[in-house]
This record gives sequence, structure tokens and C-alpha cells, in this order.
Amino acid sequence: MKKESRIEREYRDMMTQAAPDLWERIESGLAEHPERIAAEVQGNAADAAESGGRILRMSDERKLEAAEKRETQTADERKHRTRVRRIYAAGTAAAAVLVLLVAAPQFLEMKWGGAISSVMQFTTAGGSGFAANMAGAGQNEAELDEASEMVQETMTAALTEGIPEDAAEAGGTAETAAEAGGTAETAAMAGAGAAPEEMDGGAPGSVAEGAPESVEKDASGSMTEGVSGDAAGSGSEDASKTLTEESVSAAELASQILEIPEDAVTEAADAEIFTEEVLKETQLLCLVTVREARLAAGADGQTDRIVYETEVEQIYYAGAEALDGAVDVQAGSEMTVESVIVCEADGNQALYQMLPGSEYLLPLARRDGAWEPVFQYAPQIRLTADGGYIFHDGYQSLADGAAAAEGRMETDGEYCGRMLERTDADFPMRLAEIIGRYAELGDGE
Amino acid sequence: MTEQLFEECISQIRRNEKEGLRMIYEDYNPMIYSAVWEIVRNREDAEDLTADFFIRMWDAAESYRPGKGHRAWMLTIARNMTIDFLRKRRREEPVEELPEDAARQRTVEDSVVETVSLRQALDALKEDERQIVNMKIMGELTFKEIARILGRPQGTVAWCYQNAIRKLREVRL
Repeated sequence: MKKESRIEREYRDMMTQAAPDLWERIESGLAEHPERIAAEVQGNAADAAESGGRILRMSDERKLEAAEKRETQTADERKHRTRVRRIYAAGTAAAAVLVLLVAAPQFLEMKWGGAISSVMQFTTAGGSGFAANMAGAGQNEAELDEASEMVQETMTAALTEGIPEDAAEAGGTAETAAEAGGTAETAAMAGAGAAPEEMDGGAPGSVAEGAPESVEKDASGSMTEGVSGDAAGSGSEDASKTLTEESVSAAELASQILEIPEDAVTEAADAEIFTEEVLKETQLLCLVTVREARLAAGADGQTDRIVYETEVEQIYYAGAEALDGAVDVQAGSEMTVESVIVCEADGNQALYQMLPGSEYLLPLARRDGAWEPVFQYAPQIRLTADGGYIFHDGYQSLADGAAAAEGRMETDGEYCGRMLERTDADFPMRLAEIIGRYAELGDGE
Repeated sequence: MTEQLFEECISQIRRNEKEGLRMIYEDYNPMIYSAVWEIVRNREDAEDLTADFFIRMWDAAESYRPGKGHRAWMLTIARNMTIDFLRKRRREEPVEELPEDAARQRTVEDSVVETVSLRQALDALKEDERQIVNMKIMGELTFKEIARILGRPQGTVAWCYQNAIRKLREVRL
């Protein structure tokens, strides 16, 4: 048994002495319970009678049946929800392709070269299927062909599973977008996805009509903004036109992004995929303000990490290892956080870098004596000036009901168009609870 | 008190034997009183609630299910009763903020300098921290049990406890 500290002993003594004797008062307030005596007598009689035992057993069997029935119902509900989510996702994916064809042909042209002309032909002239229209389109057409077949397959599957009702429900709302793990852009796309029959029937004109708002919106901002990372990279002027107020301030902040030397050791943006399970490694969940971000080199003199000097504002969770006493982190203290350098293959700027002056809610792990974000291949959770929390959609437990966060610099890399925002004050505690759940699961392994 | 002894006491209560309750009271009166006091921070209310707790225990002994830790069971009931009491009071007297004002009330024992200073140090803690400290020291609960009662992650509870003890030490220095 753990030895009690002096302060704990004092506390116990103080509380024990302070407790008044209330027994007389309690005793005078005790009611008689004649039913207990009756129950005892009955219980004895029941035990003695075999038939009574049988009745009890039957009752237990009924309870068991009811519990099993409930379990089956719950499983059915889960299956149904999963199916609905798949349908939403299929509709969204199909619509995404179509909206891209209509709204950003240049982008696709850039990505797939000659293949796009065939797709545009399909879009404007009304082909009966992607595959037919793709014939002889160009060198990369096989890729698009495969993609279009996948879209067709998912749509067909969705139709056979009865998509019309669900898709109509999906009708392009923000909630649906969040449920599908998407953003406002995908919400607009889901609007188009609500008419799969028309698409299948070879009436692309109707598809275009089905999503005019989304296309207009995309042309003016959010949709192309999702692409702006690439566009900016290629020096396109369109990228600057699509900046929103938020992204203007992001652009200012972008000047603080570190330039990575060519010989630096970097990691690919998609080196690891985020799943919430990684949170079980969390040792601390802190709200920090980043004071400084700088590059640092390893023993071989090669730049291999970003070092952040932070100030801890609040601690929301601490794992068992952090409680060993070796860690002396508390609100108000300074903490150094290190991270690998994540970079695009052809880029020279750090992706997902935390910005000096900004606040972040960080799940941290202690690795090789240094504090690191538990997951480093994604944007960290950032606080906005108005109290919102910007996070990526990999946090599935937090995505439901979250709004799409548009025009943020975190939309670079793999998380382009995948950032969400919540303004709930208890967001850190919700995240702490999720971490706690995974930590407990981890303990049980 | 061991789980087995507690269950025997409960069996006695179920047979209308007051001795069972008396034994539980003698072992756990300070635990319940202090747990309640840490929430209401008022001596009279804490006494009323503690007495009510044992009376309710007498009435509701049938609801006890062995095997889940009797201390955690008792503290959960005590805490729920206290929170209900405060809610009811707030509805009835919305302006009055008794708990905080009453936090400065002192008992005779407080005249001991050391005790007073510890109590003052406790005043510096947040309500959550005080409850966690109390459940840990007086209730001898595990962090897991406390986390379940408070509906907070285990790591958070453990961190709060260590933080609270550190604060108490700092104030006492």
C-alpha cells in the first residue's frame, strides 16, 4: 500500500476530528421496515418451495431474452447507420467528381492532361457513361477510367440500396457534410449527389442544374480555395483571387512558416494516417501558446526537426506516465515541444507547422525525453481568436455537428478541405474524455 | 471496513437490525461528512446531509449490489444527494450563495493553528480538486473509481489530485 504523505495524514486527521457525532439524530430518524420481515419470511418460503424456484428461473429467462432482443435491435440500428453513411459518402464522391469537372476543369487538366477533354465532352454533350466517353482520351485516361468506374459502382450500389430517400435527405446541408466527414464544399457537392438517377440516365445537363449554387460558390471562393494549395504552388493568379478574409490573415501568418533547407531530413505528408486510436499514446493534453518555432539539427548537423517554445495555459489530461513525478509541467510553465518536419515532396515549406503567437490544444507524448505532438502528420488543433477550435476530420468523435473551417492555412497537404471548427467551450474536456477512453482501451490490451 | 464486513452490515440492516448501520456509521461518518462538506462548505448543511445519508442508507439497503466497491457506492450516493440539495436550494433561494460564504465558517477544532492553515489551504483549491482530494484520502478510492463518480477521465483526475496536493504543500510552506 502506498505510504501516506504528511499532508494526506493531516487532511485525514482534520476531517476525522471535524466530523460531528450524529448517531442519536440518525437513530431517531430511522423508520421501521416491517416489509423486510415479511420479505424474509416469504423468501424463506420461496426457497423451500421448488415451484417458486422455477418461476424465478422463468423470469430470468424472460429478462435474458429481452436483453438479447435489445442487443439485436442495437446491432441492426448500427448496420443501418453504417449503410446510410456509406450512401452519403458515395453520393458525395460522385458529386465531387462532377463538380470538379464543371467548376475546375483547369485543375483537372493540370492533373490528368488530355483525359479532361473527354470528361468535358461527357459533361456537356451528355454521354451515357464515364467509361464510354473516356475511350482514347489520352495517356492518363486509364486512371480516370478506373475512378469513373468506381464512382459508377458506388452509385449503382447506392441506388440498389435505395439511395433516393437518403440522398434527398442528404440534400447539401452543412450537417450532412459534417456527417460525411466533409466540408461546406462537399455539402454543396452532396446537393448534386442527390440526383444520381438523372446522372445514370445520361442527362448531365440536369446534374449541372442540380448544383448551380455550389458551382457558383465554388467559382467565387471556397471550392477553388480547396485547390488553391496546388494553384499557389504553380504560381497561378487565381489563388490570390480566391482568398477570403480569413485566408488573408492566414496569408500574413504564412510568412512565419519556416523554410526548409534542401538537405533537411523531412517526412512525407502522408507518411502516416491519423486515427483516433493514436490518442491512447497521449501523456498530456495541454492548451499552449506557441512563442517561437525554429529548426533544429541532430548530432550529424542535419536539420531534422522543428522546435517550439511554448507556454502552457492549461492542462486537461495527464496519463499515468506523466504522473510519475518526472514531469514537471503545470499551467504557466514553459515547455519545449519538438516535431518532425513534414514537407511535400517538391516543397520547401513545413506543412502543419504551428505558428508563433497562436494557441493550440495539443495531445502530447513523451518520446526519447522530448515532448512531441502525439500525431505529427496532420495540423494540430488551433484556437481561433473568437474561441473556436479548428481541427481536422480525423477526429471522428468530434466531427458530428462541426462546421467546415474554410480558408485556413491548415488546409494544405493531406488535410485540404478537411478542417472543421467547433465553438463549444467544453471542447477540450470532450477531447480529454476521448483520450481517456482510448487510454483505458490501451491499458486493457 | 472490508467488503465482506460491509455486506454483513447490510444484511443486518435488511433484517431491521440497527447494529449494522451503527457499524457502518462509526467507520464512515467522517468520510461522508467530509465529502458532503467539501461540496456545501457549510457545517449545518453538511450535518443535515450526513444524517440524511445514513437514514437513507437504512431505508435503501436493498439497492446495494455487492462487488463494486462499497466506498464508491456510498460516496456516489452522498454526492448525488448533495448536488440535489444544492440544486433545490438554488431554485428556492436564487440570490443567496451560501456555499462560498459559508466556506469561512470555522469549527472549534479549527482553533488548532495547523488545522486552520490546512483548511485555509483547502479554500485555495477548486471545488473539483477538493472533492478529488477528499475521495482519495477519506474515501480511499482509486483514481478509476473517482473518475467514474465524477464522469471525468482517469488521467485528469490523477493530475488534479497531484496538482491539488502540490498546491496544498505550497500554501503550507
